[in-house]
Amino acid sequence: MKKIRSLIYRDLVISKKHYISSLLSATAVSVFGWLILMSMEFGNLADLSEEIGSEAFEGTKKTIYCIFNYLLAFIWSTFISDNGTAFSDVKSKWQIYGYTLPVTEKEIALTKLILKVSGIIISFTASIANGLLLTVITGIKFDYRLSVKIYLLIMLYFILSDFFTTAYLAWARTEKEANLVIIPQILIPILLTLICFLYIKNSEKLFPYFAATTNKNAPDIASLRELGKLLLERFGAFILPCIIVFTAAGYFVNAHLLKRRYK
Amino acid sequence: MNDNYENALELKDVTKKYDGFTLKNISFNVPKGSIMGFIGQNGAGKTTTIRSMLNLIKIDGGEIKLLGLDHIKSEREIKERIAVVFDELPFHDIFNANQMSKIFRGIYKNWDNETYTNYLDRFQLPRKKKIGQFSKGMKMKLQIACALSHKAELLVMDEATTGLDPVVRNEILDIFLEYLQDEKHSILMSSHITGDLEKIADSITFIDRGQILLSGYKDDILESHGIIKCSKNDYKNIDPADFISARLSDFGADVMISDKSEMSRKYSGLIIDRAPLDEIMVYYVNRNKKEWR
Repeated sequence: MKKIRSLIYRDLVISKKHYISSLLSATAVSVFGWLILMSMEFGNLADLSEEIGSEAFEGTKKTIYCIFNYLLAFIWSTFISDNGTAFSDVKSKWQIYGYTLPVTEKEIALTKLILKVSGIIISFTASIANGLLLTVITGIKFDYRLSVKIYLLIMLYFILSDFFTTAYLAWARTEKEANLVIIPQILIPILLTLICFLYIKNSEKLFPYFAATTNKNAPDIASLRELGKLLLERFGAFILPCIIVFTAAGYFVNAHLLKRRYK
Repeated sequence: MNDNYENALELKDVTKKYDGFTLKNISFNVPKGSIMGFIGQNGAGKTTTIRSMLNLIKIDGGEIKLLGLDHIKSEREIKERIAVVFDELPFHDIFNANQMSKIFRGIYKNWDNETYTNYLDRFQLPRKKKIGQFSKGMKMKLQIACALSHKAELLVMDEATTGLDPVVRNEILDIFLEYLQDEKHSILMSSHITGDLEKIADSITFIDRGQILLSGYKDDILESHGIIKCSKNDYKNIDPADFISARLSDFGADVMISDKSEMSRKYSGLIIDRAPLDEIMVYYVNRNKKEWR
């Protein structure tokens, strides 16, 4: 355990800037969001209710609540991974030096796993706390079932991205190879978007309501929101198992790839 | 812990193939308590050999033992007891010397913080300054301080003194001589700065194009090798089988021989000068040409 503690300490020092910037971003966005929502509730922006009508105003308030709720969940989820450490390990030649130290590949992979799980716990807890706080400010009911699924979905995106990027960097042995890590980082969101798009395109059979409302018209926010809810209802149960599987798989894949020696 | 070994490092017929380069039947030993200089020009195979020993690359054949233990089967135990110093500092720039101590304290069972702080004081290295702000010499000293602070029995240095000024190199060489006061300690030092190795090495192994050309005690090598400086006419009388290679000029030839005593008897009229290591290296590198300018 002493070795793991040392490796964790090392990774934390390297990632300090990343964590601090994530924390500052979350704080800044939180404060901004709270101020806007408080203003809509108690301040000057509350006057808009008379101008645009209370229904439209409540709808706007709910939309802003959702934006900040999930935007903050997105920012907190950046605690899940810091691929900068793995990248700079290859660049600085610490990776090759690391092979001369009495630490095993499993210990290195375990270090990354511990940090990732800690990041997952922090991001989930912070997202829930933030959602509850927004509820206190706005009075909007915290739909914990839906919110938790969306938080987990956001975290899953980061876990997937981290899985492929870390695996690639565990495989990389030269700076040239490490520089190509941008490829999985770009490919993953493109692939995910493509999968979602293809799935939605074929959604007529699965989601007749969505198909009916968008048959002749471009989808609006309401129908997209309904589609999102339907998708979450259908697949929401798989999100947490996917998180667990990819997090655990990350450990085994990294431990295996780190065994790869230099040419 | 296996203490009963004669050689700190043993390589036997080590082979590694690449496209365009092969490490072929590399065999040499580093006796316990000694320092071996591992010399060769750039691209000769020094780093490849060192990486093979440390299991950084997989070898295609042969046997490697460090501290009497198989380099793969006992990898973890070996790495607890050896230290490696590379030509470039592999630590992140954001760390300082104190933080490096915290890291290594947990990694090495035998980490000795008192020794480490003594080295920091001796090298006058600041403890809280970021490594990124260190000069090249300071970075190397820090790497060496870390290497010598966990009671390592074998120190492997890969071009560690390259790029350092003579004052810093001298300081580091003195540290190595102190390190070798303990008979259990051994050093393998690869370098193309032969002057450093002439000062402190007990034995020399010379590698060229993936093959060992020379391996033996430094004094024996220096004693046995010499340069015959002769005229063109005298050069014609020297049997090509008797020399390694010859550097020709308009005025004569400088001929490298490997058996000074025998050649001084055979060519008694000719003067044989002492050959420093770097000259020996140059002549061996040109051995296939035989004659060169």
